[in-house]
Amino acid sequence: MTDAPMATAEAARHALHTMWSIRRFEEAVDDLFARGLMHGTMHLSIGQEASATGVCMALRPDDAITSTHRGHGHCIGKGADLTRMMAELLAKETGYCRGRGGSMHIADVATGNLGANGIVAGGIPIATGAALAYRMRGEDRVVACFFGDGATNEGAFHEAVNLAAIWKLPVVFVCENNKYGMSFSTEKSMAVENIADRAAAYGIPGVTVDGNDVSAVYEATRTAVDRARAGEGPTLVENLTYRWKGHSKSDKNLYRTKEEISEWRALDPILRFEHDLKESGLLSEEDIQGIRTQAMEEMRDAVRTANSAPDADPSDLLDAVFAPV
Amino acid sequence: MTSTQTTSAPTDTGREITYSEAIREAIGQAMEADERVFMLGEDIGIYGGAFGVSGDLYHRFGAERIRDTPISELGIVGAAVGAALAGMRPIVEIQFSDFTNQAMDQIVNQAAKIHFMLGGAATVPMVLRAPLGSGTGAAAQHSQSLEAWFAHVPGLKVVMPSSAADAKGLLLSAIDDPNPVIVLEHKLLYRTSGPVPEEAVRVPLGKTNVVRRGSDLTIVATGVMVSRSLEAAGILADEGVDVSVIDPRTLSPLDDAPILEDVGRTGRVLLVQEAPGHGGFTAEIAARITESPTIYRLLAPVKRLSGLNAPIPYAPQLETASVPQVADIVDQALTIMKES
Amino acid sequence: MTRLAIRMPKMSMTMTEGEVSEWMVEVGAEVAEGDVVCEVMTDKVDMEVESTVSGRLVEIVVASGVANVGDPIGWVEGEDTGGGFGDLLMAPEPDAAAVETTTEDVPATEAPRTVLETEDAPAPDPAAAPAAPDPAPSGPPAAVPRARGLAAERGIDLADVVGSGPDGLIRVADVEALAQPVAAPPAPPAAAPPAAPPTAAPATPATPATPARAAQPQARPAGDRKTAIRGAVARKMTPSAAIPQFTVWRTIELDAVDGLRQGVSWTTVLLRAYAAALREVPDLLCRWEDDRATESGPPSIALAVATDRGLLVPTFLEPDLGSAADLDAEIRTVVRSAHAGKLDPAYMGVANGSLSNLGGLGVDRFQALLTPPQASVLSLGSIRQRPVAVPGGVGLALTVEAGLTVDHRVADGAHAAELLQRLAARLSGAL
Repeated sequence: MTDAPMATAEAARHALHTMWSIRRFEEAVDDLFARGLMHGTMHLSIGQEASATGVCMALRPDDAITSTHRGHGHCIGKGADLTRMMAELLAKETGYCRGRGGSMHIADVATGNLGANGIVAGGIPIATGAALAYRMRGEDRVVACFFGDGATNEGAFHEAVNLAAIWKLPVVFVCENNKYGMSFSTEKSMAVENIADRAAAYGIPGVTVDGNDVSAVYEATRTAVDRARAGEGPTLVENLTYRWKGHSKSDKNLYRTKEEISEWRALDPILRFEHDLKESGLLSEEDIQGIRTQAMEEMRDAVRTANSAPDADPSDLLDAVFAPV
Repeated sequence: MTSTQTTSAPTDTGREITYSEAIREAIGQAMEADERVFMLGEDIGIYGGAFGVSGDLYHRFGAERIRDTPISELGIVGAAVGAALAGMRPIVEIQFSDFTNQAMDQIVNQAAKIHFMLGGAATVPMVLRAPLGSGTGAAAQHSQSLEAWFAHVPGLKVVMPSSAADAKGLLLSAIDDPNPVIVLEHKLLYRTSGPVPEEAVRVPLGKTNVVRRGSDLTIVATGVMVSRSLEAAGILADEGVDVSVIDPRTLSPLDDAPILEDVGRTGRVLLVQEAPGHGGFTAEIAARITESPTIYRLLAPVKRLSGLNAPIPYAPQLETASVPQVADIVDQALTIMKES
Repeated sequence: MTRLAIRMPKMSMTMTEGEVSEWMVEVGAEVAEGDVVCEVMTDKVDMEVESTVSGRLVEIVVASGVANVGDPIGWVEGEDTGGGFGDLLMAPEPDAAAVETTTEDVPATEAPRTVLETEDAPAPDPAAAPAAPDPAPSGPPAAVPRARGLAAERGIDLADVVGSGPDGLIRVADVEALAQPVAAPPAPPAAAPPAAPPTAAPATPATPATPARAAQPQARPAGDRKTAIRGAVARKMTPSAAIPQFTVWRTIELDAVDGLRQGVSWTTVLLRAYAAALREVPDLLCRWEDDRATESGPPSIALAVATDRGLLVPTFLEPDLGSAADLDAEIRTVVRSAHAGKLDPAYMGVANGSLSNLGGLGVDRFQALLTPPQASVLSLGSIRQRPVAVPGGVGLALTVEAGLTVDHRVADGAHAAELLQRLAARLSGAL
């Protein structure tokens, strides 16, 4: 748990560096895929960096998260190593999942990431269960559960939130509402105005936040985390944000207008945070440029190092099907 | 009872308890020994469990560790996955194995794969217990035998205890195991009794049990079909036919060596399961026989005796006709002997 | 300012190339990162290509048509912001030594190891599936299922078969070696008669086959005719063991015919006499089929010819009809070609009797085995002067010990005696 992004220069640097790391990582993935150098499919979170960054900054290192198919940012926000993440995407033995997981399953368990998930809403009950475990063991750890707007229409969301609510579990349900469940807009997919309104049905607080404002995200999450740690149960935090890129690589963006994409691109959470920092005098233009350069160099190093690692070895593919007894 | 494989030796006291009591005893002993073990499920608290398995555990361990839940199969299995991932040892009870359908995402897409997807960095040491099978008039949506589904999913261990001693011993091993283990308990066995050791004796997972050794024919059976096959074996002995009865106990991973050895010796095999034959688990055993050199020892075709490829009907006479009974096993065995 | 590529992007999991259909911007225009510059048709959908760089479009490489994923389709002059991450993988890096290790250790094309073991995963106590068990005294003999089925059809007990496969595994060929195809449709296994216990037959032209265990259980080397002939004998003669047969003996004096044979070989003489005698005992011109004796047509005699390649048996149809001299020449020709390993198809007919003569090898008498479906076989020992009883004492006569082996199902001892009687009469009289 760090201070608020605007509280100290150190916190500001951390927030900005995290957001740029996410942006650069996603750009690198985009570029490598576009060149035919990367396998599979990927769901990029460009434009949503403030949500992952603000939420993770409100967590302690020993707190946990559950993540989604659009999980690269959560993974980085929680402190994962860019090289091992990139190695996973490049199908290397040194990847976090030894090449078995790929984009949709990258997770660094050591930094508290309990897994990215290819199933919409699949991680929500898992977060509830992890929180249950901490509660039962008397540990004061909290789980932040990331999911998208689409997941809140899955039964798993309702069941898991209800369980967490009746058991007052230390979990923060973080909905990254980027307005579209693949191509289905929230206007069409639900009859309530905000996803946060759904919290009322389970007797827990629900807040809607400007998800492109890293400070606002941090504050809302911090409040929810403190409540959870104090035994007051879960909170539903709704971060309103937007993904610049398509749902996945083969998305023609037919369900939204170029104007809408342009409007949201103008609301770039990183540029906005840089602007706020310069306004407040917390960081100088040079500081900011330094962080940008650092993030770019780190990403280039990560790509190079990851690419030079040995490819994932198929010879022991059966080894991890079962854990050794 | 031959004990070529690891089976719990009957205790000196000769104490007999029911299959249901044996499961409860295993859970109680595991919870006493390990704080990480807890149970969650629908109506397992004050009610004592849909089939009475949890019984008085609620009064012994309290509502925290015998955790009653809403009707939320997906939610509670997911919660078990998460708790296991975070270091607990949850035991989920699903009231009927048919209801695993509501939780299939968490079982198949989550529990089974997390260890693999994370490259081995995390484990999901959970147990999912569920009653399966017909014989109670519960009809099509409460009587299925879906073991082949689970056995088909890499990453899940699948256990079908056929006796009270195995119910206890296998469950204790399942709780110890770092992987998700599906324990499918036949609801007709809950009230059957057998000798069960009082201490927490483990029956290892992945060890096939040669329950009876004969010279003419090998019967491989699962679940309630094991006791039916043993009964058939007695009748067949009067007819001069000496059969082996083998219980795999763990369907996945399957320990097939004792099966292949015995079939190679007798040259005849009858595979008995309650589930429908089409795509059923015994087809896997048949395949293993036919893809191994054991095929060269066969005196007769590999025969399967299975339930009808139909949902389980309500009417008792229809229900009985839908799944193999003792007389069917005897008839099939005699037919194989006649034709070879 | 740097020249920066706009590349054909990969826009689906399966896309390897795309077809440029239209450019939205002209050379000289300013483009910004994210601007749509052209349209591309892919294997999935038509997509708009966004520029990944900012600057002035200076060249269109592919105005229309197909380009491979990753190929430059246009060039922009602008600032290199370092975002060309793909270049890191495509261009040699200063730290080339590290990169070299990527392809050496693990060939990218290497497929996952096929797991033939039946273990799903490393078991705590890895018990591999047992290898083919050695033929255990308690279990059935190891046999290929099809061989087992064939043996049941033919009434052959697998315990009597020596397998040529690994660890004595009985293969189809091993059973076939003991089984002669029958004309009748095979009876279902359940109804197959139990195999008769093999009789302890003395050595004869044919002995039950026990194929030698090959060092390598593989197909026989091509052109091993000797082995093939042994197999043929085995296939023909093994079923003989299932036939109830008996042999009657008679010493036949040949002095009379010896004076008349004019250089014709004894084989020719005896072959003609045997055929002629058979016509007079029609019970022996039958074969046992469908539980009854069925006529098998005129005499058709198989002559056993021992060659250094093995036993060959040319068949002579009605050898008693032509002249002795012609038959003699014919037999010599056929035997010669038999020694050369060839046999005219004309002599490959189905016989209803056999003549086997081991006299040339110094054998006095021997018992021949019937070759199914023949009803009789005549064995002849050496022809030489032997003491015989003559009025008033002992004299010498040219004699041969003839043995007639008969299928007891089609004929009895009296029939056999009658045939030898007629044979003796013919040989002591005119040809």
